[in-house]
Amino acid sequence: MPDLLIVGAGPAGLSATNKAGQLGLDCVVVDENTSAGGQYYRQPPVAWANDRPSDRLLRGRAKIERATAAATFRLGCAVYGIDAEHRIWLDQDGSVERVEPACVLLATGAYDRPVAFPGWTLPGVMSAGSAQALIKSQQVRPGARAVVAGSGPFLYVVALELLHAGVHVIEVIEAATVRSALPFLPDSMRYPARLAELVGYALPLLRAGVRIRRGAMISSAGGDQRLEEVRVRPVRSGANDPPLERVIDADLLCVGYGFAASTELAQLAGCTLAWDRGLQQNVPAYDEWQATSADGVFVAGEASGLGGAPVAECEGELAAIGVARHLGRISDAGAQRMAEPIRSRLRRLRRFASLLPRLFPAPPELAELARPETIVCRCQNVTFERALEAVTHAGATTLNEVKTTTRCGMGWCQGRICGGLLPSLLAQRAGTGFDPASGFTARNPVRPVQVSSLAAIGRVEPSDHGGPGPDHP
Amino acid sequence: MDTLSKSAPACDPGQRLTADVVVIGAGIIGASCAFALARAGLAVHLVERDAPARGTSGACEGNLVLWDRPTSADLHLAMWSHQRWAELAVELPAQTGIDIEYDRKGSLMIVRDEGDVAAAQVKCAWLAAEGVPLEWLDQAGVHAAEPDLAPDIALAVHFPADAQIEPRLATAALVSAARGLGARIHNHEAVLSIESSEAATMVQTVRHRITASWVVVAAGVWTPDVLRMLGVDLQVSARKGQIAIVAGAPIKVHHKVMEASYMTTVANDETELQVAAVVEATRAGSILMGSSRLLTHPNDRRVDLEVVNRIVAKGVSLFPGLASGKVVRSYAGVRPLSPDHSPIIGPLPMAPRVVLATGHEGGGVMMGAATGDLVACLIAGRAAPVPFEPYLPSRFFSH
Repeated sequence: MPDLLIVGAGPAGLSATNKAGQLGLDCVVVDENTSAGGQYYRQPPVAWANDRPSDRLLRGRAKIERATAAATFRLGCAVYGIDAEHRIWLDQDGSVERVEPACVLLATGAYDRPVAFPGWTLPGVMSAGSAQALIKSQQVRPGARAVVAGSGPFLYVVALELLHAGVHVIEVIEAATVRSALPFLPDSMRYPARLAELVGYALPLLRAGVRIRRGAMISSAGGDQRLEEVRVRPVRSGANDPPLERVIDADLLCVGYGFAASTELAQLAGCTLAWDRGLQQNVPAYDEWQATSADGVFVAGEASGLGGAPVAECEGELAAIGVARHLGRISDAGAQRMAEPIRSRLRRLRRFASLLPRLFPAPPELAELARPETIVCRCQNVTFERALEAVTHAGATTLNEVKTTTRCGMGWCQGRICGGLLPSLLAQRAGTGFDPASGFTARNPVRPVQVSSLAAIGRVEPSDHGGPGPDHP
Repeated sequence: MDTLSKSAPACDPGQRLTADVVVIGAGIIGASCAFALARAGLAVHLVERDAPARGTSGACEGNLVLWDRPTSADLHLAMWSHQRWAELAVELPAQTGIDIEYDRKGSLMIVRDEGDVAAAQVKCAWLAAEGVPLEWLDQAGVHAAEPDLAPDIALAVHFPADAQIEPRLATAALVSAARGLGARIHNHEAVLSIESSEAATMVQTVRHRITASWVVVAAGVWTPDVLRMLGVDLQVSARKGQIAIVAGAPIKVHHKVMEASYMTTVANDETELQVAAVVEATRAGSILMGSSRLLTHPNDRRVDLEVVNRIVAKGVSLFPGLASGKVVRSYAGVRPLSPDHSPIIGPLPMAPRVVLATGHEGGGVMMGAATGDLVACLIAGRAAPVPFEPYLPSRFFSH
């Protein structure tokens, strides 16, 4: 069994792999995607020649090549379960197995936090991250006329990629304004390179004639069968006036109001969670070695708080050093020596990262958008009205209680979508009493897994088989 | 719509309250007791440390199945309950607006192994004599009833009266109906201590001190913890069961389909893991696969993926078409098992104003409706359609 199993081959996982390789750790990397890189270094399929690869793509490619030499990569492989002894269940194309690594690093990243507004389930409405994945890995143009709405630098990255893919980007609807960002600008000026990076995303958009509308947000999406029009509104409106809406004809709406981290694996591994201001959710708490409260379980990158790829990479390296120290492969003093320069870089990066949610906050007004008939759980077709009634009439105070009477979170996505949008929505709309930090209890399996694969193992009696069995110690 | 809880004045911490009955536990049993007692005109306070159906009742299938009952006492309570659920399926939605998803779909007991045939014959003769409707199905009959069953299955018993409810919604509806009849619901309010004298009882919660004529303990697997507050030691064990939910399998399952060996796993005292196939469809379209039984501790709600493998293998042997579906979720619950497998309903001999309603193992939903009525009869001093004696706690306290 390996010294270290790394879940997620994005920036954090790749940096951890490379550091673990240098430290001589026997390391296995698993990722659900069929290519390494994560969302940030997402690589196009090899078959598609790219005549002008970006700097980022090339950096990512180099990192992946180094990492591939340093560890066993299992791509297209899902972790569908983990337990408190950090036994891990893997599903690779329907072939399931249990591994018991000495340590595990959760580098599972974050996904776009879903927002429920009228029309958000129409075809043509998608998260900014999904649009990016379609363009980068599938080379699919997700629409012809696009509106990109949200808050933060990721919007501009995606808008630019849409533009390069030949999509007509009509407008970028940015919730933040220069005025709302003003109090944080002096601090931001201390990071000229990072600010230049942000401007670097916006300039080509402006040059291409894309309008960037600040202080505005999505109001609703409409269309018969699929998206035809997007309604936008100012974020703030007069106290009693309904906000003035503007209609934009579009067949693609990409939405990106911040991120959510998947914490199921951490919960199931027994990690203590703590509130994260940037993500507005509970995430695994960790120490100076990226170690969680669960013995042998480490965490790095967006899975434990927003920071961006550079932060994730430092955390990945620290985690690898932490694992080597934990396993006694390097001395504490040696580990400290190695960690010190990474930590000082990380401190500076984290200071900038902590500014981002303040420069680009997700507007609380988003919670005004859901109407009684708006679907909040797509899998089980639960309306906002029913979820709200579970709180206001039946007295539910947590997401699990809402689930008990509404079926929210009992569907195919296992609560990843409604679990990301409901806590803040219910806390704001239901008044006092609902806990915005509440989430669904994580349960194995955390990913759907083929019945035939499980049945093949379950049919074998434990007594006449040496592998994993029901009461295998 | 029920808004009483919102409009009721907030209580001060430590406020003194009085009631006729305090019910501890808002699972299906406690909710049913609170409803039946409120309907009998008593002032009821239902005290729950979490929220309704957050324990065992929120992690079960909602079986209204008669043939797995291990004793006559269980069966008689279940038959009464069966009739009550059919009535409640109409009454509760009318009173509360909550549909409990009652579905009289019938069940099939699959008799596959040679060894099960004799046991099934004995069991069915007894059930028929007790008045449970049933019919034996041959190979053609089995496959007419369930076309997607494995072709080699040649014998089954059809129980046309068996049914299903959605246990979470049923609990919520009973709580809501009780509240509509004036019961006070105290969610998120743990009990700290209980005192009991010959004339009255007192329940101290984290927020209230409630004086009442009676206390009903419907705390399922946590009953021993509650009784310890009274210095009483009574064994109620925790028997974990897991369910796997399958989506995307191209099959139809019309009945509750269960292996005959299921009744053995219910009735025996095995401490090791037991798995018997139970397959059924939900109204939402997914397929539920059970079942497992394993003695554990009351708070062990952890899904063991190795047990899921065993459950899934058994299910596929009944319905081969399940193989191409995906397990999308799994959950576990802990059944409250009494020392003799029958429910414990009635006053404690050493504290007669404390009435127990617990120990239903996997039959809590099945026997839940009648359990509430039986408790109400006991407290109101009325006769019941079944005798009280077989369920009384005194059977565990011999002198």
